[in-house]
Amino acid sequence: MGTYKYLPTLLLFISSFSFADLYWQPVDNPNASGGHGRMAKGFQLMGLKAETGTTVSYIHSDLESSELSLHGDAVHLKSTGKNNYHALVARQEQGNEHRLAVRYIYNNGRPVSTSPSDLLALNLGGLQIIPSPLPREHWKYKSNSTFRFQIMFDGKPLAEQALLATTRFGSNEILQTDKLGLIDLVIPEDFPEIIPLKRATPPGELQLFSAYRHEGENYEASMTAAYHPSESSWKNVGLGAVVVLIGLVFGFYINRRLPEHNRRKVK
Amino acid sequence: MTWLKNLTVVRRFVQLFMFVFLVYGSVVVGFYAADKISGALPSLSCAYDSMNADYCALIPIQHQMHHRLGPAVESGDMMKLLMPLVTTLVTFLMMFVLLNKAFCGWVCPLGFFQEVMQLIGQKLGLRRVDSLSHGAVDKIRPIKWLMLGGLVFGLPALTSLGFLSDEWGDPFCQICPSRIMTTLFTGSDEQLFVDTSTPSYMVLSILGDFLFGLMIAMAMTLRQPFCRICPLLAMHAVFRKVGLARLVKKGTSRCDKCGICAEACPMDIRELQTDHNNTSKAKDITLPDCTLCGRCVEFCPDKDVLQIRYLNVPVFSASPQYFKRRKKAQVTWDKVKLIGFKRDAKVKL
Repeated sequence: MGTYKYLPTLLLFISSFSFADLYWQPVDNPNASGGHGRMAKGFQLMGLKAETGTTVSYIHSDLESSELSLHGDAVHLKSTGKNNYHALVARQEQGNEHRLAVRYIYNNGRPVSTSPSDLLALNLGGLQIIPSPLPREHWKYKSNSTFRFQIMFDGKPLAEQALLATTRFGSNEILQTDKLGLIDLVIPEDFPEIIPLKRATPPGELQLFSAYRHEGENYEASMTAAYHPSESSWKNVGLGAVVVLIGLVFGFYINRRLPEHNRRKVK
Repeated sequence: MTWLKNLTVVRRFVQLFMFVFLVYGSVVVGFYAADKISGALPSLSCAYDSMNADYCALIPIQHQMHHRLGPAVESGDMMKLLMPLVTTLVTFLMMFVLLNKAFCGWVCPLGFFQEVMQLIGQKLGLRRVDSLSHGAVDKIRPIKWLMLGGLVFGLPALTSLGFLSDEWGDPFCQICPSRIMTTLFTGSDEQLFVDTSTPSYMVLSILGDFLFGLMIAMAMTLRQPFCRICPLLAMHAVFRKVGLARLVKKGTSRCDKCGICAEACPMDIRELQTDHNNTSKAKDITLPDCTLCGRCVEFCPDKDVLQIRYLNVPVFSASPQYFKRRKKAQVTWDKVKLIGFKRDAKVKL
């Protein structure tokens, strides 16, 4: 991801105030593969200046919420007995600083009656980075694909707002929202090594940050998620088209040899 | 509005509407699985289509066999498998009861796609083989049961029990032409691939691509080639007696000599002509391969011999007047050709 195009925005972004650095990352085994949503259940809150003023809540897929306690800077998530997307939310309020870190946790693919869109529609207050949409159940963030995010402030879209996208492998990009607060992000293919098999390559970490000053108050928000390598390393579309063509030719060959048959009974 | 009096034309409009709705309907119903209409639709609407309104019942069934059977056997608690499986089947049945096998003939996106390909083939003047021989039909008919038993239940079960590698957990989806067709219609070529990661994935992906090409070519000459082997057709056949929509027949002595219904049937159901003749009472003739498309009723020249009934109330009945009008419309339609690669000597129904 090149940053030159957005250098002025980047400078403005950094000079306004330091960008948000409160964010979630997996703690158990960051390199573990997240097959079928069985992702790491321990998460570490990075950039925690002090535990004071910090609250952590776990919003379930049915929008019920439970408060969690930080052990040091980490939480270990226990099963809620519910499936699908949950939201892990950390909020820190210190003076005029309001910091929010969100991570959407996918438990498994059994559909629930509440749509993940209801989870995303929750107004957490202040500045928020919201996936628009989250990867559908059983799908995931992956490289070389475009994903849309929306930045909201107090539940309203924030136009021309800067967003810093970084990955654990060192890629970074500054993007700016449009009038509807939307950003289209292409996740880079920056894995140091790709094992050409589904779920074999340890996932990367996508980290999105944004900061906003409003009426003398500083708001910072982050959203993190695992992402996986593009399947183009082991799925060849060109070869697929060739096989379809072979099937097509074979089909036309069979068509020429199909015998005519009169369905009606011979009188 | 004479076209409204032509059942096939009405059906095509319904099919077009359902195609657009099922392939692109996420803009209406929502994006996530929880937003979908049922999650166990009795038609081949594909979950790999990012814009779909619903997805077919075969996906959760394979998934449950793959992920639940092994743990259920291991723990001795078969409810781990039965609960989700029964939930899927009940959901499927709640939909299926409403339309019965009309989910094939009126709703399925892949069925409509094949009919469009057949239309294109006819308009290009390609060779048409409207009927297969009895022998060929008899050989093809069991394939749908093998597809259902083997690909939807058997291989995912063997995978779950550890006899096969993980790649065989959803083998029908891997070869289903609807997966490639619907995703291509959303502008994505992501499902048109050869997977080189493992030999099993490679075999399955090549088979899926080949079958897709084969289906397109064959659909231009032969009616509904994939429908004849579709596992959903077999699943419909199992539950067809509970459907509210039925095809019924009160045959006469003339049926033996006529047989236009069997000729009109895109699935080559010859029993339409031979069964339930000389009977005083109308009998259910919704046979395992029937898609309730209604063509047999349209082309039956005798009054009320064939009927489509809903809750046992006739909603469309054979009549000599309709037959004459319909045949004339078909003759006119068949004469319209864009390119004449091969001129048909006779007009076919």
